[in-house]
Amino acid sequence: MINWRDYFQVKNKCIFSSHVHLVPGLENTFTYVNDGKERERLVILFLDSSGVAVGGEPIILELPGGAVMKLDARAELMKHGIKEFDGSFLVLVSNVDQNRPFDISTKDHVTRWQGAEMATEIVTAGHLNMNVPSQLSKKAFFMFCSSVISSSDTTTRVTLFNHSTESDYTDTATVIPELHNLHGESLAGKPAVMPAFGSAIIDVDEWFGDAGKLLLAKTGGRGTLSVAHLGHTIGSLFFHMDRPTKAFKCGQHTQPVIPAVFFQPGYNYWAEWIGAHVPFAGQVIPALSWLKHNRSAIRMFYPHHSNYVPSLGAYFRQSRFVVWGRMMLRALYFLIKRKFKIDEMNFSGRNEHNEYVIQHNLWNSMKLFQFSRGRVEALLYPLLSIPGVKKDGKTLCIGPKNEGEMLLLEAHGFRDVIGIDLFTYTPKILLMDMHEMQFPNDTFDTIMSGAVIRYAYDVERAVKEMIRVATDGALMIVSFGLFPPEEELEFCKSPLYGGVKELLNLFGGTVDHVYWWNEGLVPGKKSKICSVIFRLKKK
Amino acid sequence: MTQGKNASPFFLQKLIPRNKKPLLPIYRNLLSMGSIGYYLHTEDGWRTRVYIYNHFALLNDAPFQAAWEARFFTRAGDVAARRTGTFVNPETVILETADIPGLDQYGIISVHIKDAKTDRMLHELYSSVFFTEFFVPGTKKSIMAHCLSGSPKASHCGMDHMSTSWTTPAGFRPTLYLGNSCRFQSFFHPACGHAAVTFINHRGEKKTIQLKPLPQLGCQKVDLFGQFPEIEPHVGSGPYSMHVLGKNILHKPFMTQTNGTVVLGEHL
Repeated sequence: MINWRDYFQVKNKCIFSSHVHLVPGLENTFTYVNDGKERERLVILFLDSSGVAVGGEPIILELPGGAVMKLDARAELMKHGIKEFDGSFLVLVSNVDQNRPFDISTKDHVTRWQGAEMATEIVTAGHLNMNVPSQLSKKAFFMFCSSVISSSDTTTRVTLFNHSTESDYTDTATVIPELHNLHGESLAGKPAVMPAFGSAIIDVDEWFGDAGKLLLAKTGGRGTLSVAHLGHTIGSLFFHMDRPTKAFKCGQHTQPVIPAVFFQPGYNYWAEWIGAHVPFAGQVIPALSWLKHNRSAIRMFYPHHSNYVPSLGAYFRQSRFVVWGRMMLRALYFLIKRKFKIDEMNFSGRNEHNEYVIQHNLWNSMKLFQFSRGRVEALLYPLLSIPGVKKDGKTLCIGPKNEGEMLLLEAHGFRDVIGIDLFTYTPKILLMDMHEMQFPNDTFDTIMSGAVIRYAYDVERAVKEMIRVATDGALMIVSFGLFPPEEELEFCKSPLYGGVKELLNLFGGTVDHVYWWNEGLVPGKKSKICSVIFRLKKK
Repeated sequence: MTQGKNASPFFLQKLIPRNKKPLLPIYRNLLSMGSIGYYLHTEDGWRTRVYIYNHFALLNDAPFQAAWEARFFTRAGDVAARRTGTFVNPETVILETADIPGLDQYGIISVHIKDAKTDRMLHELYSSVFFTEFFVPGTKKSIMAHCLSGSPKASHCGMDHMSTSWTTPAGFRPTLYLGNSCRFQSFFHPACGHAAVTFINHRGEKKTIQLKPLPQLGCQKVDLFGQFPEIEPHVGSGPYSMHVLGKNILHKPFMTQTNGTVVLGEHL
């Protein structure tokens, strides 16, 4: 028989903890949805307060993407002849394919305790790393429940879990709960000792006895329970429990006191204050904020010192001011001519993914006038150094968003540059989906796709289209970013986690010679920029 | 500076002499509204208790003076009421909306707890953590909610929040509360909180509802099945996910569900 701890040895995983409270007349259910695409394995444990799993073995489930786990504690515990139970519930979630990245950012777990007259539910988030033995010394835990009540019909229950994501976790955690009445008078309770994977269930009246009742009685039966502890992270929930039925009226997870996220001695927060107190600042601040987040817009006012300048004329043509100025003037011209109408591909609800892409790029991020010149140049200069690059051939830019990328290519001598995107304001950019381009076969000598390919809902299909419209011997330039799960856009989760190698696998045997292969971390960030330039072989 | 026998070295590291960081109190007093949550004070009897606790006093296990300020906003984002006080010990204050005149039927509430009048202060700011309890007096209907751990701020950027594993039991009606996190002057600044909520049912099908724009620090109540009848058959009894896509929406929205007798409620 496999020890259930062995299942915790996987790498890409998280755990969810909750409280099991099963009494006659009360239902206790747990719901989890695999909202990703990867197949997940769930290792589900009902643990008693000493950390022993009910039945000795976990429940193992495998959930494909989109599938639901809904577990009824009564049905599961009845299999072991248990009718009443107070303990903890622990779910280990991991990818079946451990080579796939694990995304915790949108994972929730809902526990519901429902009686005939009362019910409560609590959403808990997962923990990626909890009570890792090698990191224990750095961890501090501090929680409080400020809604303690002790009345004739209601009492308060606080549950603490000493759970871990690690299989070799063996620490017993001992904490001393402290009870305060509204005036701040305090009473230390007996220690709560929790073995590894065990829990403590603190019914305030019972735990603190008559002394606790007296303390709370001074302030109408109300008070706060707090726990401060160094060395372990303890999960905790609290409930108001109906005395006669033992059903939960309401409950919530306690919030550890965490360093606030709102303090950054920078622009935004002064802007917040100015915006809140100065009339008209509401118009100015968003504009300044836009400039702050789009510094490239400011940098474009001075000429750029290109590292590939064949002549003085080229220097001016390629300078930031000229390229950016041309782009903005042309945009202004076309927008006025079109009465500020921007054409968008109309999917009429048939392709929600692409509609999100349009919404994100065109409206949420306002990329119509953002030109990330540095990002294009990072590919352009290696491209220009390749012998035989066909500047007089046809060049395709996939997803340029505006004319900036194409004008820069033209400034570097590319004669016939055309772009495709899901929205456009200019004849230089055709309305077209990269999954089904309207060009004939073997059309383009150079194809550039800068930070676009991961917007595809079907990367394989987009790659096939690129191969189809490229000539034999065409140069392919592709770049894309890989971000930590918390920074990924919801709709931008297509594969390519394997980086350039995975992309080249999709191109398969058509990859002839790879001139440039780069996978670099962005300084100061966890994200990675991948780029590749290679020649295509079709025959 | 005193420290008690149970003071944790980890927390004491956060306490520094006040004169070392002269600008910190200015940041704190001018720029932060503390933390934020929702309140209900409805005609059908819902009331709210706000639990504010001097968690600073536990950091060094000794008296630690703190000041608190609670502000209640109307659904249009105007300040409806304001309450202040001070703490020395690990005291708790309970505010009841029934005792506060001038409140709207629902809205957002901010609570700011800040250290005061001690020779030492917190090196890093700590959230003003508080809890709210929504209840109907004389009944067993009660919902506990935590605050949102952060001052509202106008990001003027997109919000993309996904919450999964929701179920609406048969006969229950869900109500969603959303707030605008922008606190800019409303003078010539249009209602800037926008949200579209997509419901993804257990079959993976999607339905999106577009909500009305919210004014600054305003709050909106959405009777999901009443205002958008197509949602009820769409989500059915199976688990569903909610994807909130918008701008300046307070993270997180809050949802209550009731069949008239039993109530449920939780943040998305």
